[in-house]
Amino acid sequence: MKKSLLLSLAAVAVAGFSSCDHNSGVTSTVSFSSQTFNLITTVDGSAGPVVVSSVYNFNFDQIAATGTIAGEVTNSIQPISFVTDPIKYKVMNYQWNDGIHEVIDLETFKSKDIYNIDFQITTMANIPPIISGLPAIVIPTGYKYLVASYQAGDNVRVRTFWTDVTFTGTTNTSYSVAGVDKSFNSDDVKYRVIINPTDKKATVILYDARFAEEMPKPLTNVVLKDLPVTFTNTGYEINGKDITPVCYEGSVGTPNTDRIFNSFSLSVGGDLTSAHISYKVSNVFNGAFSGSYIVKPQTTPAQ
Amino acid sequence: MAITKHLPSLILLTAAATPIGEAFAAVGVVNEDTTASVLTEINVVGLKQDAKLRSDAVSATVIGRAQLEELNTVTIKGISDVVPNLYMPDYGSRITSSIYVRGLGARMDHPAVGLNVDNVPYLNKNSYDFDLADIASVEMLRGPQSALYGRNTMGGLINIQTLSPMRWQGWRFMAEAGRGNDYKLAAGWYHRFSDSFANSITANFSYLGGFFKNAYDNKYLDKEKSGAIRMKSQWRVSDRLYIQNVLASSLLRQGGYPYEYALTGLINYNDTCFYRRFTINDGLTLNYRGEGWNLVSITSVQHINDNMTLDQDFLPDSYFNITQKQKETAVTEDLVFKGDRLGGDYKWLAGFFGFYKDMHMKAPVTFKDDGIANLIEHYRNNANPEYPIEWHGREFPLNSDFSIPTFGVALYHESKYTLGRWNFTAGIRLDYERANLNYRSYCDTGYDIMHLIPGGEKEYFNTVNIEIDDKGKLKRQYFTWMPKVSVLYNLPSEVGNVYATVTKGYKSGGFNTQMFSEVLQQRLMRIMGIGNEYDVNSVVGYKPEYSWNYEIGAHLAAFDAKLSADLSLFYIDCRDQQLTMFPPGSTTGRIMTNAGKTRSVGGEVSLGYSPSAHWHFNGSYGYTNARFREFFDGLVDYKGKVLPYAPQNTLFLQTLYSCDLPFITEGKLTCDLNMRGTGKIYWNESNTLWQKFYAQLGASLTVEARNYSVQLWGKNLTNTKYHTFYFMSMSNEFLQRGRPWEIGVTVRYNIKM
Repeated sequence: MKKSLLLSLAAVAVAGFSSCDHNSGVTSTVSFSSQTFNLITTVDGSAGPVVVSSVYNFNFDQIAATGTIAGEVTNSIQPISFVTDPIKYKVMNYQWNDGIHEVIDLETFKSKDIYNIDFQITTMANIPPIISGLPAIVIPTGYKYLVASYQAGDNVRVRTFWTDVTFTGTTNTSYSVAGVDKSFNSDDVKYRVIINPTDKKATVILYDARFAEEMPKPLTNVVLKDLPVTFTNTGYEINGKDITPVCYEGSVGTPNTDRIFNSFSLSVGGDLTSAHISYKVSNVFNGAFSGSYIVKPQTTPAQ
Repeated sequence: MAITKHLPSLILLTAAATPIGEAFAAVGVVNEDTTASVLTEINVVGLKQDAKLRSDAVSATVIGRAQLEELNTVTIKGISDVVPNLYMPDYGSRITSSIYVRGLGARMDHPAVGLNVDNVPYLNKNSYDFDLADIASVEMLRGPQSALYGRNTMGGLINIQTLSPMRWQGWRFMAEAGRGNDYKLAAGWYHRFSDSFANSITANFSYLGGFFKNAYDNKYLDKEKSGAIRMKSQWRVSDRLYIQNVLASSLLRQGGYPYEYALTGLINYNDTCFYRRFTINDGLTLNYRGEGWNLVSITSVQHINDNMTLDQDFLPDSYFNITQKQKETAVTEDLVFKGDRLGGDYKWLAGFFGFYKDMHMKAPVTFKDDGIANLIEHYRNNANPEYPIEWHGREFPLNSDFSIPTFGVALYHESKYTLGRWNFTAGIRLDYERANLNYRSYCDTGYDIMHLIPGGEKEYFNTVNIEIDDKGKLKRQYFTWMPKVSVLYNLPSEVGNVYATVTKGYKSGGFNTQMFSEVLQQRLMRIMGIGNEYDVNSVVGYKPEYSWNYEIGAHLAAFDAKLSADLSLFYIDCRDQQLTMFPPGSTTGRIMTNAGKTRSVGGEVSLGYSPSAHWHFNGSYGYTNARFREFFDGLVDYKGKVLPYAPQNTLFLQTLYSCDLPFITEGKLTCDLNMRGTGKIYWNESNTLWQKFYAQLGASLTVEARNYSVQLWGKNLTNTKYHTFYFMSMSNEFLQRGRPWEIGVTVRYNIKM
């Protein structure tokens, strides 16, 4: 299911920028909107942070390879409203996860309303496995994840973020067996973070959790519910102590007191795409993770 | 006028026509009867190769009827080790016909060696192992035969011809009794209605009481009953048109596998184990002879219906058993067009081959009490001990149904040019094959989640129902070309010839149907919240295997043909070699995977020497050094290791002495002493386990007269203890024992008309 979902969404994403014209097969403009959350902070730390949702409207002229962005963020530290002049952009296609994925990069520019602009629209974002009983996966329209940051005025900084993302990377676990210190690395563990900005609560789900070489089979899901979320000038943090996880089997959530998370700490900063996570499980396993929910291509684009 | 000059497509195997009492039966030497009548049966190998295999650039061994009777052989397994570098072990069931030649072989799915019986190419390896009454000859061609015979002849080709009613008429009876309550009966009626039409009907029945007891119930578990019937009709419609039809059917009921648990040395398992098989085949051969050309059509219809049910854990515990019920129907058509030009110096052959087979299989794996407890509940309860589970019932099936239609077409051509003492041959085959797999994996089960409360009591928490019904389709298609080039030089004074050949071999890719139970099991465990996920497409399919075979050899004769020798040296470069592996962990299936690259180098020698009318000596030796050049299975690098399951050496030595018995009319006494040796065989890719070289002594004493013979025979007379197979299941090691010593008596009676 996961693979076919990715492919179909990748196809939608590609189709969004593929040529089709009623007459000659080529259209010149493509428009879409991206509703996302914004973390609004001040450069001098004098106010905020504020978290609000807003819509960014994109209009791309495919022939001129320029696009305009219109954004309006209300209930912010200060009102933000802008329409950019045409900005040059590039569309790059990458082979990833058995599909072709788009990354659209808009060049940095300055407008009269906002500056220090960094906008990227990517379809190379992790999608977690579908497991019965877990919350449905929330995916943006067209599978397009907007990763944007800009400055409005002299002191207000805006960074977009998504409230249902899945981080992948490397998890290193250290533990002792019969007095011998051991270490275990895994690239299979995934961390899904679902944030409710209103309640400032988060659910964190570990997929394919395996903490040691000696653990014969991974746990398909480990769910940490109702963890407090703190938004800061840097980004956001999720912390908890003595959390009894719930593991879903056949849509039945079963508490797992054998795998209590004695501590859990997650921090996201920078462009809000990368996370650092540390935790202790069963008073035995010390886990540390760093990774991202989007994949930043290392390879050259697919031809 | 030499008949063979005008009828280049005929092969005249007179071993079939030789009455009881033919002397010396030397392995590899079959006397040719050039006085046989024109336009008799067609042998597909003789049609596509040279009429005399020793005149062709190929390593071949021909064993005639008399030799087979001396060796007391009614199955192709009986020629294992007799033919150098050919190894066909007894893996405990007739479904597993594993054939290894020069290090190449297969234990499941597609064979590495092709089998033709009365021109019918057997497509399903499950039907390779059968008893055959009145084999006239067995030809074994070693090395890739893919250019002329196509798919799955990468290691070679075995061609069996049965006795022709055109050559022999009358009644033939055989009765045999041996140790292990081993009984065989056979009868054959051969009748020539006219010069142009003949018919034969043969039937055979065998019963084996068994050699190995199951310690669980103290019963012989390798019992077997089988029967077969064959009708061969030959019709020479005219001087130009010949028709042959062979209809054969067989039925088999066989017990379990004699696998002993390595830790205890005992064969001890509690669940049902059997193999049942029904086959029916019909092969129609039409041969039309034109002026300097021949057109032959070989059409076959084959059907097999079998059921293998196993106690898959082979322990007295109840983990799981598996059933594999298969029904397959196949049709094949081989059209061969052959001719010559330039006064016979240029010979050509062109052909078309097509096949379609449709297999339907049901392969449920039934988890039982211990399997549920130790392979499922154990992992789940370890992951969450405060909330243990209790399965609904102590037995449930993981079902897998398959439909696998496969078809293929091929065009092939071969040209042979003779220039003085030189023969040059070039051939090519273009082959296309497509296979689809439609699968359905399903199960309906569930369990209760309990909650341990203080005091050790359990209270009900919740129920998980597991309903899986996965369907899918996979397909594979392969296009390949298989060339062949050879050069042969005829030595002066009819000493023989030397040759060199380069050929490409090909073994089809396919689907690991046995892995579906593992995929389904992991899917079930994922629903339970534990385990890994398999990608069906990546674990279920495996790619074709290719090889390049480089060979030089010689067929020699000396001392007025009293001494014959066949020699060969070979180098095989194999890509994507298919290996049967047992995936790590507690699994229910085997997986066919492609190794990186392997190479095999070795040589073979076969000798026959008849210093006098009384004595004859046979010997054959094969050496193979087959190793991985590249093979990393994701965990371990096996580069440089020896390929498992194929022996490094095969050895056969035989001494025959014959003399007249004056007190019996046309009486003769033949004494045979022989030795077969096999090994070293490695059992795993890491080469940490092996079977060392072992030898088995055989002997027979035959008294024969005009119409009858009585043979006392013995096999493995030194009771050599050896193993023929090793595998691991759920981290447990198992070995298959070789058969102990056997003795018996065979009586043959013929009424020639």
